[in-house]
Amino acid sequence: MKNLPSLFSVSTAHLLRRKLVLSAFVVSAGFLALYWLLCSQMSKHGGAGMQTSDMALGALFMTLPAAATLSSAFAFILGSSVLPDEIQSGRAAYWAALPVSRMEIFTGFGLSSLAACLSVSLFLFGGIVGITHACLPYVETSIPAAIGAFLLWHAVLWSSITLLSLLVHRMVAIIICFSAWGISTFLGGLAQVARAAPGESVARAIVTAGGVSAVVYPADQAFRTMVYGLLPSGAALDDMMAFAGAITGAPALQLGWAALAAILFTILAARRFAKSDLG
Amino acid sequence: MQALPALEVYGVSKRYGRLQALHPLDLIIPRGAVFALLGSNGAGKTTFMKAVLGLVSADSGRAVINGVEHARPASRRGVRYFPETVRFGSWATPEFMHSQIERIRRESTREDLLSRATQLGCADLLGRPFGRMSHGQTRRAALAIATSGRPSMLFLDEPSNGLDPEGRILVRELLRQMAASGTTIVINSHLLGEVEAVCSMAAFLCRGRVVASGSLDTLLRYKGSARIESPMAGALAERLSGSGYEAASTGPVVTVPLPEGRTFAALTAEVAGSGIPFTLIELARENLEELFLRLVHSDEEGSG
Repeated sequence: MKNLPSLFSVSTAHLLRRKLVLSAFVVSAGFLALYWLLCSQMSKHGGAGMQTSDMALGALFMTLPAAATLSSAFAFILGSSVLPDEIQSGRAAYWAALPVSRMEIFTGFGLSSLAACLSVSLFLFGGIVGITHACLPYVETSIPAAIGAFLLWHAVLWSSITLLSLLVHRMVAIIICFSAWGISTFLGGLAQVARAAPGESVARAIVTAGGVSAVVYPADQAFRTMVYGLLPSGAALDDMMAFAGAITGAPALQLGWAALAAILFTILAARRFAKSDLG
Repeated sequence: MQALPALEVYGVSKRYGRLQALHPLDLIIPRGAVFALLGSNGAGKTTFMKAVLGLVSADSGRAVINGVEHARPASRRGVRYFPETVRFGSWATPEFMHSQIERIRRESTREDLLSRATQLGCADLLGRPFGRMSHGQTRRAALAIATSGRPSMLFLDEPSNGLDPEGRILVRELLRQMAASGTTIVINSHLLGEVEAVCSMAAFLCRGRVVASGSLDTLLRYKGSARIESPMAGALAERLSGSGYEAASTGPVVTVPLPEGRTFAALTAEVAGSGIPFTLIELARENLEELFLRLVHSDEEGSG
């Protein structure tokens, strides 16, 4: 693996030159500008008697799912832009003809796309948290949980798109991953609300569907835990919504499965790349 | 002690779906050889190169490059590959790509690249993005990257493809020079005249099988005629015609079919005794094109 730093920097240089990362940063900056407008207006004209943590909860609750949609889209586009593009353009054969192993190429190029995904997302979510703090001061529920879950969430998104984009065409992979992410988030949210009505057959069915989606595509659990970690602790609204279990982290077992799935997807992707015919 | 062959291939085969692109194939290429892979389109030449370099996974067999199993990355140390299609990013310049590649292979310097680019007549292109080059310019610049420094072995897939006549001459000269300095060269090309000009050995592939291989000297058959080069070719042809030969001259060359019962030695004596100056007399052999067609047709007849 002594060529790993070189391959990482080669891949990063190529990725940066293609302006994909820059575009993602520009869109994120636009999103953050709008969010700053929202927060500053809330700060100026907030409801009388409302705590800033409640306003922060409201702002974050409205914003984080939209940011997650952006962030996952960036992850799928950036994650599928490196290795598949190198293979389709024939450049992968050029790299593979050098005295390096396929594993080094996979790791070096893969890490650069993962780093790009994480950088853009960190800018977006870090910006959201920073702006919220500046306008509507509050205390997060758990910063370590938020950071851990952030990394886990991206590990699942990146590993799944990397694997799929090596198996099918890049656009098909993006559509499948985006659909899986959307469905798992939707079912995950429904399942949390449905748990508030135990015994109902429809609610049971929704909880079961949520459980299945958590197994098939375990990105939602990590995202939900990140949101839980970022939301204000002790907000009045938090207590009001707690009956539905809407603001809680995912069980440790589900997070463990998400981590295992990310590792599994990565191993399968590496094996696929190692056996791919290049050029 | 005998030097290790540059390339040893044992039973390498490759199938794409239903198509057997390469049947189990054995080949040994000596160090320093300029080896041509010849065959029709789809014969398996490119697949062979890719299988040897590990770019496609062979279904069976093994290859050894410079004494190292091809599965090991170290086997590609000092080995360069020039693919048939080069698709660098349109924004990338040859200098940038060379610097990126050299971060990994660490085998040549910027000065080596400049020297090679100068030799190939493309030094002015080193700072220009590939997106602003013609196909031929891209090929020249990419070839300069692939051959910079002192590689021990070159795999070239259609190196002259898309080059103008001047470019082809420069490539031919480059290959001659590299071969003279000890680089083993494996060329896949359809330009048989060029192959004949630079290669010492060849293998003919037909539908994934090697139908003939060896040195060009042994592969090219002698034809039943002699070829004489003379500054007075017309006079010599006339003289030989008077002696019962059906001699014909074209420029400085006289071609003489050997009639039944007359030997090459007798013809040589006749020419020497004529008093007409000549610079060369040899038994005419088929050229690479004729050999190619003979082998392809005999393979088609054999399979038909």
